[in-house]
Amino acid sequence: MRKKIGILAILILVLIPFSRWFFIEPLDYRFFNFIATMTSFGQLAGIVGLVLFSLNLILSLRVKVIENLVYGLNNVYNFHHKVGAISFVLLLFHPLFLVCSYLSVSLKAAADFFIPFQNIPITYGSISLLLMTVLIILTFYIKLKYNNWKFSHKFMVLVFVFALLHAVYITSDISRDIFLRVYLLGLGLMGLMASFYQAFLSKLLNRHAIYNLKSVNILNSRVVELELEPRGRKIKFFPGQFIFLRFLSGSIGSEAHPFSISSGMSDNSLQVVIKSLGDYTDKLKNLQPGLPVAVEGPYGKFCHLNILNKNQVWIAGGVGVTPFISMARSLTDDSYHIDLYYCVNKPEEAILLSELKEIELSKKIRVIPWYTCDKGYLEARSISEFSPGLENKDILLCGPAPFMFAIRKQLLNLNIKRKNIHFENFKLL
Amino acid sequence: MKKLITISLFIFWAVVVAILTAGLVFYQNNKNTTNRSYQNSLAGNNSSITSGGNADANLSGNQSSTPVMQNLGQVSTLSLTEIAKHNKASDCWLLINNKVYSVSSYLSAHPGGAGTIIPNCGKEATQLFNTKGSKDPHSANANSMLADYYVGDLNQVFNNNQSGGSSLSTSSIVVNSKPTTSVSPVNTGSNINNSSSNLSATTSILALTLNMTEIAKHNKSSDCWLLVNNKVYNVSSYISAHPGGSGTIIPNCGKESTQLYNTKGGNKAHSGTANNMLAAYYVGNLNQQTSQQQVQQTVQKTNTIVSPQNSSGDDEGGEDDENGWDD
Repeated sequence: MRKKIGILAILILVLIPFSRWFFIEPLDYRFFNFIATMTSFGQLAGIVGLVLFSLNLILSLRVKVIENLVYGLNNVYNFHHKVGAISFVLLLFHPLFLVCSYLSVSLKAAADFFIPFQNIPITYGSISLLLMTVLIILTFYIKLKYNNWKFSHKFMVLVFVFALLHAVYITSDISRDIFLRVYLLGLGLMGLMASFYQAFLSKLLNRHAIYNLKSVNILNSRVVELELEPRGRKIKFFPGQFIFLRFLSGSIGSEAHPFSISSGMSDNSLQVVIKSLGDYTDKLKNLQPGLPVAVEGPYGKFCHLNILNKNQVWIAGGVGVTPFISMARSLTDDSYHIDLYYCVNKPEEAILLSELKEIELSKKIRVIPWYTCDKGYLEARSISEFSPGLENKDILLCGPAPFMFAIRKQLLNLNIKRKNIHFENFKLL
Repeated sequence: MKKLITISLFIFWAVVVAILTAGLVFYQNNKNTTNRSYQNSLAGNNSSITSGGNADANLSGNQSSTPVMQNLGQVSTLSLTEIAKHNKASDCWLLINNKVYSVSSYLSAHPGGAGTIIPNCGKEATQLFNTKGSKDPHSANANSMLADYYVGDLNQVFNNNQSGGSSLSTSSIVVNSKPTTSVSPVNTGSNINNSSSNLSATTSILALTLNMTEIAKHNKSSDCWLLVNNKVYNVSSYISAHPGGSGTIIPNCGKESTQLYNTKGGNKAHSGTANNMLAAYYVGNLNQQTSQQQVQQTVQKTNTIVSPQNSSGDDEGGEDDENGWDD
């Protein structure tokens, strides 16, 4: 899979300083007793943690090169999430391993190690780790509003600056070995540049088009559809992709938010569907038509056109139907045979169903609404009953993560091949 | 991921809080016991000082009082020879400002890397410690940590009531005070009344000549002697810290390396700092008559040239140590 290129790239970038470390001093000096071993682990944890941290800043860049590396921007964010967590854990254990040697001296020495302002480089490290802990707690445990969380997460750059200062000023293998020094600082500098770009330059330099808000259609109590018309240049997208919208004026925040496209490829206006989840999406309902919007993108690789097999089963959970609506609207030739399962709790939640039914009349697509309140959860068994010959079809999944993973698991149990199941986790940061 | 982070955070804070609490709240209670147990562990590690309360008594007591206890057994002196025996990473003594420190357990924690210390195990390392091999002194924090590793003063005489085992051979040596590598037992303190045991100890010293045959035996990276300008240096502990890489030294272990040293294998001379550092690893002159034990001590000393951290010295080992420490 294409994703693996990204994993491989990260692994290689981590392995370079990791293996270099083993050649700086003879291993007898590194592992001659338990404490030396612990210290060595601590150093390695620090080095790898810092490399991953740097890479994560680079991964947070919204640029094509990185998207292509892991096949889809959503994968970039998944990576960012995981790499960040691993980096944090390593950096947490970095001082824990190192304190072992102080413990072997005395408890006092070990306690001194954790008390800031005794040693400047160590203090940089402590500040960095402490601030990182706070930000990670905000990310993983406290559900902040997207805006606030995004703002808080920007302080990771500060964490990183302190981590770099720590790495620069502490006497260690990094200060003694010119290769490690250049490598780690080089990567760190790239990370800093990446976050600088993302914070200040991306608005100017990332390719975007200006649209006007044409209308706000309230589809039901929780879901709105925005219709945008281009002022000048139109963006070119594939159905199933998503874009970032940034309102340039009005009562709504000016930060970029991701939205799934629901309009067809050839439609003149651009439509996006959004389920209201927070403050920002609530405010969308009250927007006045005519507001200028910067549209950045498109991103994502989730598209029926990317799959060679034209016999497809599309399975949508709730508002996850959006990319499928775009795909259905874009269907032009009759070569595709598609079954669309549309799972919602109740009939009134099935947005745009009537439009899908219309498309069903003119194109080779079968729309199967599935109401969980009547029939229970959609199961792979039912899918194979309604869509015979499932093993020869490609299956596209979009919806809440638990929904997708449950169905994917059941499909795998039915001996559907892994490579025939496509899904895009739309939980964007 | 979330689980992993939760567990890690929990472990992290549990350890940090535990250490801080134990280290600070119970510090006062621990003060004495820590020192004692630490000294014991030193004695155990180095097998040079008796383990148990006796050594402890020696260390914590006024050193001039040691003669009182000498009738208990043999006497050992922290001579250069003795120090030189502790020249391995796992058993590393340093001589700094005429005080002896056993820093094996600290090596791996050394921010400057174990490699800067290990080549100096068993050696005089004052200058190296004071300059960090260049010109920066160690921090006060480092000084205070060093005190934690204090063993005794140079040529301090310890009384040993233990016999047998490896501690006998090492602990029963009395050698002289000044870094002149003479073998004859010279006591510094008032502990001459113990000369009988001194004599018995010195008889166990085997004569040794620092000739080429002897030097050639030390041809491993873990035990590396160099002959430079007719002087023998034990650079084992320095190898890994060598800015030119350990690989330039290791092939020459046990060999005459004057030219290589003077030219750096090309046409550049080593710096004054390098020369000073080299001096710290001095074992003896070529063909110098010495004893095995003396050499062992020097080797250990040079192997222990580490820069542990020391402080005001108040957390460690007796009043004497405060005096000498800040010089």
